[in-house]
Amino acid sequence: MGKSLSILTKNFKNINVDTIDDYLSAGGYDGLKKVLSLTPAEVIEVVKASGLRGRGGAAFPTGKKWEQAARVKEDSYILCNADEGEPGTFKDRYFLEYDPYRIIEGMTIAAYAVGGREGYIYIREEYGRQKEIFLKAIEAGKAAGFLGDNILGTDLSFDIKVVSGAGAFICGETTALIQSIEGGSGRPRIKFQRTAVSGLFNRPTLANNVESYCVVTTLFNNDAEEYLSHGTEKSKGTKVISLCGNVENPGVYEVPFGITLREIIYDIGGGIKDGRDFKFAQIGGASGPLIPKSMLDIPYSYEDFGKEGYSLGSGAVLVADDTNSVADFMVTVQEFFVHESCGKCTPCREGNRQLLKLAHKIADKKATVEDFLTVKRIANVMDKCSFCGLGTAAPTAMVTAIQHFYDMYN
Amino acid sequence: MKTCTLTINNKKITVEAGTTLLEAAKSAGYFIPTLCNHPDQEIKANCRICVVEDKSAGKFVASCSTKVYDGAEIHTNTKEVRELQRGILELILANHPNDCLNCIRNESCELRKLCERFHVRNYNLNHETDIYPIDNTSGVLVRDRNKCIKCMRCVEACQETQMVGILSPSYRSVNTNISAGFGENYDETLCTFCGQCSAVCPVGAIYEYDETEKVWEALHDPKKHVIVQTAPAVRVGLGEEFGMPRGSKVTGKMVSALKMLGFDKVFDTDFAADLTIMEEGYELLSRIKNGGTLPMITSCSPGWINYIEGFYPELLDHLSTCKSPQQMFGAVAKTYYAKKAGIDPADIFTVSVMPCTAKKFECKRPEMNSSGYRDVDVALTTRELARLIKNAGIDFTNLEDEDFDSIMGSSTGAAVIFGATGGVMEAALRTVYEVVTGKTLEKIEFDEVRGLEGIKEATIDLDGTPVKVAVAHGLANANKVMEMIKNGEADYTFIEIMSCTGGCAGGGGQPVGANKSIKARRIDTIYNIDKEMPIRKSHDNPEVQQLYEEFLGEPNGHLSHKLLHTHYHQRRKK
Amino acid sequence: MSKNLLDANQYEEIDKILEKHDMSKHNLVGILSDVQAMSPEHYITKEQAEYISDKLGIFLSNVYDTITFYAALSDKPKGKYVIQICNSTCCKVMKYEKIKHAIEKELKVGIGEITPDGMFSFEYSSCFGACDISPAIRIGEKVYGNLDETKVIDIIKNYRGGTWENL
Repeated sequence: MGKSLSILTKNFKNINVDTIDDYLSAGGYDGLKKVLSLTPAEVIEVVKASGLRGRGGAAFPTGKKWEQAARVKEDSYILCNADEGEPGTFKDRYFLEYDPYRIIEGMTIAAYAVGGREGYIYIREEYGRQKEIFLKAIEAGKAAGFLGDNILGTDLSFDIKVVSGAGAFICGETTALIQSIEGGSGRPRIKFQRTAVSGLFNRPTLANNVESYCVVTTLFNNDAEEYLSHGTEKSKGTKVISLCGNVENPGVYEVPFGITLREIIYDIGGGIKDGRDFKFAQIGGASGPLIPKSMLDIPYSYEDFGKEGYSLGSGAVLVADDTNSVADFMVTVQEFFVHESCGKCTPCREGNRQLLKLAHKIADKKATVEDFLTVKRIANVMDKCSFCGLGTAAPTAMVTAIQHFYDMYN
Repeated sequence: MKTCTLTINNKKITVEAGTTLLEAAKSAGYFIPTLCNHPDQEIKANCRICVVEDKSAGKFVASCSTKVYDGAEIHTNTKEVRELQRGILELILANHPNDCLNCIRNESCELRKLCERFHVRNYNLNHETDIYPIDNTSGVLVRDRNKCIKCMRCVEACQETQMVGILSPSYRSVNTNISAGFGENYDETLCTFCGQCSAVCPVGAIYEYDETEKVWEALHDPKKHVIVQTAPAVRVGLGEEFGMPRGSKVTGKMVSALKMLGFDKVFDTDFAADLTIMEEGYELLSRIKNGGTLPMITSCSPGWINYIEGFYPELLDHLSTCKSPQQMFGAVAKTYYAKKAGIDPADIFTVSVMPCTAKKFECKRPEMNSSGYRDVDVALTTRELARLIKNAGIDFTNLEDEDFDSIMGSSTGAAVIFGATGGVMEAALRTVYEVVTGKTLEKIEFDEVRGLEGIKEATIDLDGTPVKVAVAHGLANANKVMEMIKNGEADYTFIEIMSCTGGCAGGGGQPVGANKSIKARRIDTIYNIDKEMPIRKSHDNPEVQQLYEEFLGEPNGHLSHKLLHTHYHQRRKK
Repeated sequence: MSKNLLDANQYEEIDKILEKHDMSKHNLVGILSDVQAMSPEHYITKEQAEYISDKLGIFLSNVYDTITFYAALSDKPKGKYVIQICNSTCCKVMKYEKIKHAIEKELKVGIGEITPDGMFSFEYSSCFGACDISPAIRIGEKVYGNLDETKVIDIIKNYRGGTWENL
């Protein structure tokens, strides 16, 4: 489909996942087999060399995270964050439903590399069907000897428990997710030590996103070379994006880093629906910046968007045509954050409240110049003082909207 | 001891590794603003106002939850830091009612003090406050969620320090509020009314149910003979409300102020404390001799009584049947004193001043009327007495000392130490020792039961007979003791339990803003008062001796049982 | 919920759920979700919460916190079918408002309300990851996407008519 690829996503809608057979035929568990022939340190080197960065949105270098976890002698819990809640993001849903074994294989590779026997996958409540599929896959994996004791005849033993969320975006934040698994409300916790040292049940924990584990699997199977042949200097490989909004062909696509948003939207996405014009895009979900037409040719990579001060985030690409009002859209973004803020810290709880009011004022065409300055002031407080990433990222949309679309009265 | 060297505002300092930036800055002479931080509690880091710039790491961090590291370059007062801190303060204010003029905490509010520090005169944020109904159903504590700043101090006090668990955050985002759940008010829960929540709240979101107007009414009523009793811990806390150093001894000034307020008689709860020791000491000896339920547990802390009635009703037999000094006083005042003074008890109005909020609950218990009238009409907290004194415009700090009135005003060192954890135990031991052994104590102090450790154990040598005792303070420690009793692991004879950490010195009705070291100072003063008292054992109190001779007969006698003892019952939620 | 019929059984049911979750405090969210699923009105009563609090040794106030913190748990009764419409960013650009108005017109209730016959309640939801088929709604656990005004009315009518087997 235009310039999209089929490496990480090659199994999507192509294999039957009721049993593990199709997955194996398609090269499944070649990765783990290769991994078991290497030392854990060698495995981590491969992950580091790939430049893989956390695919959930925070983009922390995965190899570095694994290195930190491996340094801890005690066994680590292997956590998979499948609480995909960033609006406009649905790629992990596809992995869960169409390629669950790739996730399991990736988590098993992690167990080997950093030392772990127990895994948890935290699946958002709204992905009920996907959770059932994943549970079946775990059973099938166990029956085929790829989970449980002595996997592939080695000392490696690994099992995965499935935990369900209950409708809280904040539980996608690692410490909040951990708090939720430990029982009760999922409010983030102070990290006196990094999660690798003390996380779930105060034990060493490695937490990664669904797609991150899938990339890891691919780094060790026969598709590794092809995967690494794509991308840019600092962003190697491919990214699975969720393209949605006013485009002809919304969906999950795999793109090489370095492609432009223009190519994503027009070549892969089929352009703006109903013959309308592009107005803005939002990348990385509701926590992401607004992208104006003038930025459509920036290469989609960490470094190129990083130069602008923007993150690629979760990989969501939401396209809005000219029937949309930026000001109204800001109200929607702020309503999301007011709904999903956990309420623990002042900057996020009260800052989002104030930003929603200002967004309404702007949308009602009652805002003054002072109001726009207040948005910037509150955004700065939230950015620098919030307890966790939700509060830090929440004002991004409004700040970039003001930056690029000051005249928001359209 | 590993150390760290860092700079705070370009000033080089060396501190112990593991110190927080907040503490390090304090040692360098800088008070970084805080709200959710409390020295006796876990670090919460949710208000974020303690933000500072870590220039070496190129980021801004919460100083309360960030540890020092070698070479850190920290700035606490740059333009940006001050603007961020001010921004957070304004965000809190945008959700806070503009009620300072009416607010009960306007003198001691930590938020208001920060506004002063940051010169917040006005701000341009959208002011939106909540409209939760105020819970003042209990007549003991009042909850106003509209003023809550979500610091979570009360939650930790209730769930961790006291292990009662009535308070918890609920909902999220702007709907976050502290509640018991399912719309329950205080009076529908098993809240013990210990008031520790009100003691740690930085603002006016939880506070004592103020009954000062009731007292004024009685004082103004020419028909009423208004008498007041003051608990031991009040005399080491009251001065703090007038800017005196924490833990100052103000007994004489307190008596003077009470007389100036117009109380007809200023008596001392300590008198009744000595009485309690007589009753309880003999009760203990009787249980030991006759195989009664042991260990026997003290019963003068109403927060503790509420706790055992609610959570361990099956173990109620362990409680001493003695009333608290407050209630013994009331019963005696409206019988013995009324008779001796020739006053109709119907015209007597007893007021108590307590370091305690639960005393309000205690004096309202239906069974506390053995005099034929409400034994104690109103129980005020230390904070409310201060309010009365200020309302009357009395120049407290410059008052001359005055003495308590007789015949219910003399007391001993054993009585005053009731205000410290371990004090009731020590007072009882001083009497029990001499009664059992017939000998005079060589060393009066029982150091083994003193101090701030949560649970203290001691084996006292009663002239050859070892007696194992325990002392617990804070309901989380009471919980531990009760579990031990339940599991048959409590081989003690006598246990003292106080609901509040530090004992009454740290009571829920004392001046706010206390912490462990302030409580320790109050306790030190209490033990010093004990040392300087001419009489130091309860059974030597002449007015108590007179009470028995002329009225009660003997300890645990028929009249004592009628007036000075009570019974307990299981507390259920409404 | 017919109180008499379920009163006796419900505590046995809850005991089974507690056992399935190893009587562990850690599984509180899962336990509450399962207890909620017992109710045709999709909520947890105070009595049930007190029972759970007692059995697990958790403060009732904390159980209430958990119920009110999560959007998927409720302490208040809902309709038999809970219709949730996404009002997040993608559905916004896909004009979810049109679908919302159509539903309001058909059900004659607004957001946050329950139809008088107790069949449907209508509420907003944050993004549930169906952006590729936006605008989308959830009815219970089922997701319906690629909606227009006609389609969504059809779906509701089918629920009303009991043509589609749904819980």
